[in-house]
This record gives sequence, structure tokens and C-alpha cells, in this order.
Amino acid sequence: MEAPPSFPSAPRSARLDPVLDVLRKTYLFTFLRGWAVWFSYRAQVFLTILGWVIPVFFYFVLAGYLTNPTSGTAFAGSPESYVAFFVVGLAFQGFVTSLYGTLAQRIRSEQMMGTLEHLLLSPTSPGAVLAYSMVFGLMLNVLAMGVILGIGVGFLGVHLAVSWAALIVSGVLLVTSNLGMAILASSFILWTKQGNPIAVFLTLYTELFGGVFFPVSFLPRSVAWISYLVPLNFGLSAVRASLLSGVGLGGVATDLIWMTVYTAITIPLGLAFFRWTLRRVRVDGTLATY
Amino acid sequence: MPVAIEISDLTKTFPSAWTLPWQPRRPSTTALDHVTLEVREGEIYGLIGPNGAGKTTLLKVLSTLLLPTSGMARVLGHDVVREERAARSSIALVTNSERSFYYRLDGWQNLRYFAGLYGLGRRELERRARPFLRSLGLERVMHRDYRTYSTGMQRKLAFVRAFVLETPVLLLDEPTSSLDPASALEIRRTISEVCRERHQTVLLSANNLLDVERLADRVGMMSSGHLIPITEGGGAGPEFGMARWLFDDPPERVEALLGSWLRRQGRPDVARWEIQGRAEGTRVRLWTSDPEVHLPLILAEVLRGGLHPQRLDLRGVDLEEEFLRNLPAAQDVSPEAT
Repeated sequence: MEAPPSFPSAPRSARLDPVLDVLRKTYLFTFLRGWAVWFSYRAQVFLTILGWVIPVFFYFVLAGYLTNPTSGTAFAGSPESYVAFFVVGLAFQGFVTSLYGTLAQRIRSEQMMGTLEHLLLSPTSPGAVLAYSMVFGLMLNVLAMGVILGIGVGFLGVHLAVSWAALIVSGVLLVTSNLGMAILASSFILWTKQGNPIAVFLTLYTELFGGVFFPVSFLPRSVAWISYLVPLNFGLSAVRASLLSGVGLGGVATDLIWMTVYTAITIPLGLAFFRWTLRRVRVDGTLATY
Repeated sequence: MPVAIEISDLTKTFPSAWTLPWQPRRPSTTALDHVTLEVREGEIYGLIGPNGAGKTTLLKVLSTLLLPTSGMARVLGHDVVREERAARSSIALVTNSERSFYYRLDGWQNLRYFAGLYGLGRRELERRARPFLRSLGLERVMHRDYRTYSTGMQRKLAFVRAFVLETPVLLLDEPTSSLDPASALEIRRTISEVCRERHQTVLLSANNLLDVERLADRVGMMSSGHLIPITEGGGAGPEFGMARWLFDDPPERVEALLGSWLRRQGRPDVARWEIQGRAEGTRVRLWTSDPEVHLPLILAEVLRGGLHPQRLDLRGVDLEEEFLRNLPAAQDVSPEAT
């Protein structure tokens, strides 16, 4: 056997420049663990892209009925405005549903593959593992957003008038205001292994009350108040204004403030629950069970 | 020599599983029961024991994947509960499961991913990994998907992942399980050469007693959560032994002289002894870390006491015999009790 490299008494694992370390780990989690594994399931890739495209045309057909002058809705006689409404809703709601679903799913698949123990055994902190794990899902949603907006603009006549600063801030806050709940959902799967009531509930609740497919003003007054508890509602309101009407930061300030409040409350809550769950599974000895 | 792994009074009890009110309550399970152990830097400590005895639990507590119920464990001075991140940085773990890599990634991608979590870049990884990949015969399959690997290749890759990290402490759980004899030999040779050369501390759990016989400096047996020292002392290699003596004297007399003298001495280098009356005389069995040094001292005492030794037979510890002997009464581990 060829002589292996000699071993010093202290660990020699690289103490890298922190920025380089973050970039390297982002690459490893996103392109190696995320993209390379995802892309190796060709049928899944095909069905995912189909899942981005089909709803756009489905709601386009539905728009014909909803915007009929006799329908009595806010969009009656104005099909263009409804098409723009749902195209933006579809393009951005994926960030939220994927945060709720994929992060939890990721924890679950690491449990199933037996790699979770090795992830948590490394000096990379559990919180950082969680953060890096989100990047690929978000990247995929940027791609989905591009495809959906492209179809909207290219084929369905959606006209964009973008206020970039307001759009970027709204987009970032749309993600961060839902992040805490996503961490909560993934902590739940770490604990319960199968079945994630939080993710299922949040996804349904968000789609119904988040103003994705129809404005919350369409809801009966007795339940419309619930929509104000859904941060996506504020996120989509701000994104639509900044993307379709060129409204600047001042015009969407109220939505931004609400999303900031959600961010400030739910992220510490989610992280605290994640820490508690991680401790719990290490006491119970169920970290690697599935 | 400084201590690398320090375990004191460590207990791990798995709480009872949650049940509905009408279901019978499941009892909690104590996997580690007041375990105390010190492993010195550069030492290879072998853990044997039946399935479910607590070997893997001990490795998982040390690697911070499990929280102990009470007691203390330190790796290179870092408490595994209070300073878990520092402790983790010093450890590489090889589990006995093949499910520890991504099946859709190839060998290199898997290595790059896991080594990257430790801050290891691609070039440095390749430099460290190549000698191992070559000697373990993995070099030609590194661009193949992990899912196409045989069990032996999967186990070997897990070793390479642990070796390239160059951590001062290695925890090995069943290193040669499900390997053919040639691969097992190769793994044992690699562990022996690399860890000795690097002065790496190894805690090795094995059902394959050959692994422990060939590699360990000292051996302990886990049984029902207790750690029973099989060989104590230590040195540069596995040089513990057992002495069998036959005396003409009755067992009570041998016990009164030799047994009480050993007890009084409280010799840490004599792990334990047994005195049995047999047809051919009284048989004394002594387990000691360095028979050549300790037996002359004991012999002098035997002769001074007027005992009549007939025959002395010296041999290495038979781990299989030890394993079976310790199975029924694991709790009874003190020299006085034996």
C-alpha cells in the first residue's frame, strides 16, 4: 500500500476564509446535493416543469368564465387584469408552498437515505445545514417564476411595469415572512418522521387565503379576515403592485411592514422549535429512524 | 500519554415510547449504565459485546448524535454536550450502515460533498483520498453512481470519507461487517497502518472478534450497558495475556494467600483472576496486560506464601471465550466478585 499522508495531532481540516466556505457549501448543497440529484430523476424533472406550465393555461381558460361581463366579479369585462393577477400569483406562490413542503421533504429524505446523521455530525451547524438546504428549492422557484412569467408575457398578453427596488424587497420579504413556518414544518417531520400536518395545513390555507388565484376580497366577509393572517397575501399584494403597476417602495410600505413583523416573529419561533426538536430526537435516539 | 477520550459514569436511558392511555406502557431502556473509560491518544480500544449491548450507543454519544442521560464524556477535552461543535470537529465516524451516501451521486461527488462540510476543498480532498482509493481498489469506480457499488465498495468508501478528514479521533462501528475476508484484511491493514502512523485514537466496536484481536491495544466488553474490561494496561500493541497456573494446594489456601494478596495490592494491571478447585489441583487464571513483567512478582509472592505451583501456562486472551464468559453476569464485574 502506498504510504498515506501523515497525520498531525490536531485536525488539519481547512480553516478557510468564511466567505469561501459559505460559497463552497452553497455550491455543494445547491448544485451537487440539490441539482445533480434532482436532475438524475428525469421523469420528476419533466413532471415538475409540466406542473409549472399546465396551471397557467388552466387558469387562462378559467379566466374566460371569471371575466365574463355577466359574472359580477371585480374582473368582469377585464380578462387581461385577471390573467395578470393569477400569473403573478402562480409565479410567486411556489416560493411559499415549496418552502413549506420541500424543506420538510428534504429532512425526510436525508433520514431515509441515512445521510442526516453524517450531515449533523459535521462541524457545519444544524441551522446552517437547514439554511443551505433551502437554497436549491428557492433556486428552482426562481426558474419556475421565470417560466410562468415568460408564458404570461409571451403568450397571454400580460404587461409588466416593474419597480425593481420594490419588487426585490417584496420578493425577499415574501420568502422570509414564510421561512419561520417552513422551519417549524421541517422540525415537525424531524420529530414525527411521517405525516406533516403543519406543511399540509399551511399549503392549503395559504392557497385558499393567500390571494393566489382570486383576490381575498372575493371571500365572504366572515372569513376574509383570516387572509390577513397569511403573510403571502401581503407578499403577493406588494409583488403585483411593483411588478404590474410599477409601484415604488413607498406604495407598498404597509405590506412590507406586515411581512417584516411576520419575519421577526416566526423565524425565532421556528428556530427555537427546531432546536427543541433536535434535542428531543437526540434524547429519544430517533435522529436516524424513519 | 494524554487522554483523548474520557468517559465518566456515563448513562444513557432511552425514554419509554409514547403510548395511548389504554395501551400498555413500554418501559424505558438503559443502553449505557455508568460507563467509565479512558482511551489514550494514539490508542486503539476495542469494544466487543452482543448485539444491543450498547456499543453503538456509546459511539453515538461520543459523536454527539445522542445526548447522554447523565455522566460525562469528553473528546480531546471537549465535553460532547456543552462543547459539541468542538467535539464533533475532532471526530470521524464510520457507521455500520451502507445508507450513508447519496445513491444518485458518484463516489467523487459524495466525497466532495461530505468533505466540503468539513471545509475541505476539491484539490486537497483528491490529494488525501487518492492513496486510500488506490490501496482499497476504489479508484476505477469513483465516477460510477454510488447505487451501483457492491456492499464492500460502499463500506470502503465510508472508510475513505473518514480517513480523508484526518480527525484525531476515529469511531468505527463494525468496520468489517459484510466484507469478504480479503476486503476485511485490507481494511484492517489500513486502519492499523494509518492510525498508528498518524497517532490517531480509535474506538472500535466489532462483532468480528478478529478485528479486535488484530487491532486493539486494549479490549472492553459491553454487556447490558455495562463496560467490562477484558484487558487492561496497554502498550504499543495487543500484548495482553492470560496465565493459567495449577497448584497442589487446596483452593481455600490459594484464595487465602494469593487472592487476598492480589486484592490488597489492587493491581490495575491485573484485570481479574479466578480460582477453581479441579481434579488435578487448584487452577488459577490471571488476566494481565504484561505477563512477563507481572508474573515474576506474583510468583515471588506465591513462593513466599508457601504455595506449591505445578505448572504455568501462558497464552493470549481468547476473546471468544471472554465474550461467552461475560454474557450471563455482566453486572458482576469487580475483581472481588470474580
